Amino acid sequence: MSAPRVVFAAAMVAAAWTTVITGLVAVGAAKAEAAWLKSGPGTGYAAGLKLQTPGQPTVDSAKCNSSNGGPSAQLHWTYPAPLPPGFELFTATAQGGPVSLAATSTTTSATIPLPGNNKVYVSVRAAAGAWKGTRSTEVAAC
Amino acid sequence: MKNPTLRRVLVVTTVVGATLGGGIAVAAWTSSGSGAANAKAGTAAAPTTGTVAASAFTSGLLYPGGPAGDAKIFVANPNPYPVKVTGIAGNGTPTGSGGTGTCTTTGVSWTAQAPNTTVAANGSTTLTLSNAVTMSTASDDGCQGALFAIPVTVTVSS
Repeated sequence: MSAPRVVFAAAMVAAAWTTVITGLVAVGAAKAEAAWLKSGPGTGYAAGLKLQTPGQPTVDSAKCNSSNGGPSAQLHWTYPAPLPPGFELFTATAQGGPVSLAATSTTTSATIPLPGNNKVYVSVRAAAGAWKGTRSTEVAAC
Repeated sequence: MKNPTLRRVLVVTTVVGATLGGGIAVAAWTSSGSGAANAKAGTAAAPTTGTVAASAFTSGLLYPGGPAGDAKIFVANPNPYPVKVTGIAGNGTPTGSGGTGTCTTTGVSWTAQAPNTTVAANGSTTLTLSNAVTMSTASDDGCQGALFAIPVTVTVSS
């Protein structure tokens, strides 16, 4: 075959493929244009946790004199999973009486200062930001 | 075939003929013209949403400063063909109800979602969207245990 014929045949093949590719691109564009979007207002929902009440604290150890930094107590308690961000521990000098915040903890144990050498009542509650749970049953220390 | 010249002619003719034929065939269905179409396009209807009960939430609950939680949304497709939920974006202030007290500031935020879930023709489905909502520490104490309604815009595609 002569060179001009080869060139002519190659040009014909290229032209044919160009036509095919152009057609496929056009079809693809037509399909994309056929899809439509439609939006409307609606409502999604989510639910909030309710902080649980910790179990009554257990006094692991208590120092009821004023030596070495004053009276203190080491306690632990239980809490249904998942744990909240934190706990607040309270003391009261009378059972069921006014309470004072003694310490905070991010785990289910803590060592807290006690307000005096006499019997002290300790309780704990879950806390998350402004959310506060119900205080646990008090436990007597000292 | 003993004649090389004839063989070359046949080969070239076949190749050129085939390519020209293909080009013509394709060109035929991609050609354009003018005229009036007789079909009428239908009108697509926007999706709607419905209520989700608080009892539907058993995990992914929110609390102030906690991890992202689950959201649920009931989506109905009023169209006689399936659609795909391509986007759900927040578009308003969430409200809380059913909590332990006053819940004015919920602290709830919606994170834009693209579930790409298909809803059947004239059908509906409840989507559970993991990590779609968060709660800031500004949430009121009375929001504990509340159900939060979050205004959103739902987008579907055909």
